[in-house]
Amino acid sequence: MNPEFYLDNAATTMLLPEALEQALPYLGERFGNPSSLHGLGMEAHRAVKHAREGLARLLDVPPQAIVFTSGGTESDNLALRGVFAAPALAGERLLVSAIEHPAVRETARALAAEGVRVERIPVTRGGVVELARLEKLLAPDVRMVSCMAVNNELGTRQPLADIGRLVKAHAPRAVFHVDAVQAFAKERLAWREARIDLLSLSAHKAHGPKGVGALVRCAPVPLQPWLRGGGQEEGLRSGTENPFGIVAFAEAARQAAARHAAQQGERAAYHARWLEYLAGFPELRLYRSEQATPFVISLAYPPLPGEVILHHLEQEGLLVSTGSACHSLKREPSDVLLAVGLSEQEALSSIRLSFSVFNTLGGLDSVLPAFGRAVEKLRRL
Amino acid sequence: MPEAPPPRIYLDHNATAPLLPVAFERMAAALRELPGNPSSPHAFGQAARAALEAERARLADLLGVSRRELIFTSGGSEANALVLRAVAEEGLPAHVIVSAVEHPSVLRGADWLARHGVAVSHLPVTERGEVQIAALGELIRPETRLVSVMAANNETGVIQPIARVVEEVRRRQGDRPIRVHTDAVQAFGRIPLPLATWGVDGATLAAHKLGGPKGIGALALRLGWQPAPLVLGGKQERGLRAGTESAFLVAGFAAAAGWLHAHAAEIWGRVAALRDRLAEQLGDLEGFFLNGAGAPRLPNTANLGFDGLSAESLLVALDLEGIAVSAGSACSSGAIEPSHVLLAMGLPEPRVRASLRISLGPATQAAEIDRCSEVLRAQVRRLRAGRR
Repeated sequence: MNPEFYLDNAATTMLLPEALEQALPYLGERFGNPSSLHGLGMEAHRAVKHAREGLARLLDVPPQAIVFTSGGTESDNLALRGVFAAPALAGERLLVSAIEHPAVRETARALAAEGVRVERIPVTRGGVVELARLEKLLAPDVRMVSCMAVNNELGTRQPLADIGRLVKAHAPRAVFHVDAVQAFAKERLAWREARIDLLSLSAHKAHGPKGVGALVRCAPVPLQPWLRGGGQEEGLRSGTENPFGIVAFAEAARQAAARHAAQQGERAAYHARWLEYLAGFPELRLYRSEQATPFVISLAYPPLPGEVILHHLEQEGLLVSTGSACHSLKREPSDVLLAVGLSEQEALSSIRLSFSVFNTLGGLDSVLPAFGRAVEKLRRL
Repeated sequence: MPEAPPPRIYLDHNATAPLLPVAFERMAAALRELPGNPSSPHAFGQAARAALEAERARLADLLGVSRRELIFTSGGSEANALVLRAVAEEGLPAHVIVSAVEHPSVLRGADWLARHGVAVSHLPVTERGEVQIAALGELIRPETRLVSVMAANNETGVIQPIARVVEEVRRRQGDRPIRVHTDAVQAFGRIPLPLATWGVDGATLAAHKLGGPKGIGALALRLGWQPAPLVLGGKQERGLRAGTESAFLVAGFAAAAGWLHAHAAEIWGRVAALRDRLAEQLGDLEGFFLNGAGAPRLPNTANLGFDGLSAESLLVALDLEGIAVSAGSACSSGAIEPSHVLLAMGLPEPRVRASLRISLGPATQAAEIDRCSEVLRAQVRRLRAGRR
């Protein structure tokens, strides 16, 4: 398929050919287990080490800060479980934003069932954490605050620097966790400025392969492992490491960082041209936020359910999503969309367009007319 | 970049196996053709979903379970962790029994349970490495919730009598059923795994030990057993394992397992003969021993050594000749610790430290085995001579 027509990059992205090429030997003759002590094992171990160092340089953290996992979901689980499994005081609190990914929401729910006091940080209609409300929730008994960098359904950027400042001022012992799955390789992750302690990353949302991600320990917070066994990843994540996935992950990240600066102009222009085009369809309700990133557009056509819109777009070759992919198979309005004040009807009608470097300005010459043809058909329904 | 590896003789398949060509082909095709997220509702996603489900059905068929009884995980360690940890969710008092020779992912999972109020018993093994069925009967109590015994050991290759374990558990259990789980990571693809006949409730599998990719495994779970999920988030894998599923990893897993099952008869008879040939070629050397001898063993595994000679020195000598074997299991990064498996079999520590694991694969050739024993013989003679 023409990658220009794939507008679901927040669900998953295409594997970068350079990343595949770099990692391919690890599906071939370099198949060793990085924990093995012989030459083949050492070779795999060096590849993982090299990838770890590369990723660490990009993130400006020491290599040992990176814990490779099976993906973003596991990273989020490890972050929350890992903090709350460390010796805790009774009644400690966990604050999570109202628009977190299910990996954080569901883990928080499980922790609540185990006695952790979990509270939601409300968000504005613009999809941004309400800083005043956060400040009120913060107190010395807060053990952890979890807030994503960029929301997967809305594309809104969170004011991480402000959040971090408030967290460290009012809950100095609290661990600040950021699910940066949607921001990674797209946005600059100024973790130091935002005083972030833990970052969750996923490879496949950033042109790496599925099945690999990382939890980055920007600060040496006490963390307990969630997967125990052979003691890999400095004891924080057991299980044979996946050199193919790890090497491809690091290479995809390296490529993204290399083109990051050059891409900024095109990303903004690409997004702006979409908005300009969509303005010609007054019946479409665009989700608007001052904190929008140029990677996601969320819109609704309230007379129709999102599935119908998706279907018509697909007939024109355009692949989009309704809500987030993790729960789009059941027809329930997205919690995230309700949290930012959409009505149930609006939420059920919402679709998400999400972009990557494979969506270019040049491609819009064919993508936008295809979108227009689909909307014309929807109007006649 | 690391330089191209020299020609190698790889005899460490229990640590990880080279990707089978058929698995590589399927993965390459899936990476090209199935880039979608299987949870996405559009054609891209649904193509990945359809392929994923077809591969699941294929794997389930090989195991004789229904496809709804198979959930994918990131590997064997995660599948084992899920089974163990779920016991804690079922409330106290609770008791689990794990064999003393389990993989660290089971043993460390049991340690975690013990710290959370669950009573843990370790089922002893005989000097041949087989679990003691009589002891199992004595360990079972009314609050026993789980018994976990591996199908075959990663270090010795000793095959456990799972049918008898299940029989003993069923005979002793009260009104509340006791779950029987088997870590079949090393057994899958190498010996028949009649899960339904055995009557186990769960079995752990990993792709990369049988020539599939790293980063994927599975848990076969008898329908009706819904352990609490370990990794939470989206509703993938019947709600038992959150996280975006990977069509290309599953494709490689199913392809490797399918190929091995289709060729099992011709492969493993030949491999077992090679394994025995190695022991025969070394048997006349002073101080030779074979661990687990006398017990049924995987056709590809020999755990052996020479009294008074450290395994590490043999391993290094073999590695210099491009021959990869291991001492102990590959998971404990860095240091070689004395094997808990061999200690549990009652071997004295010097013999434990002298034990090498040599594990063959479907492509292992007679000439490779001959070369391995030649290098070992030379090294043993050299070390013995130096000692005198």
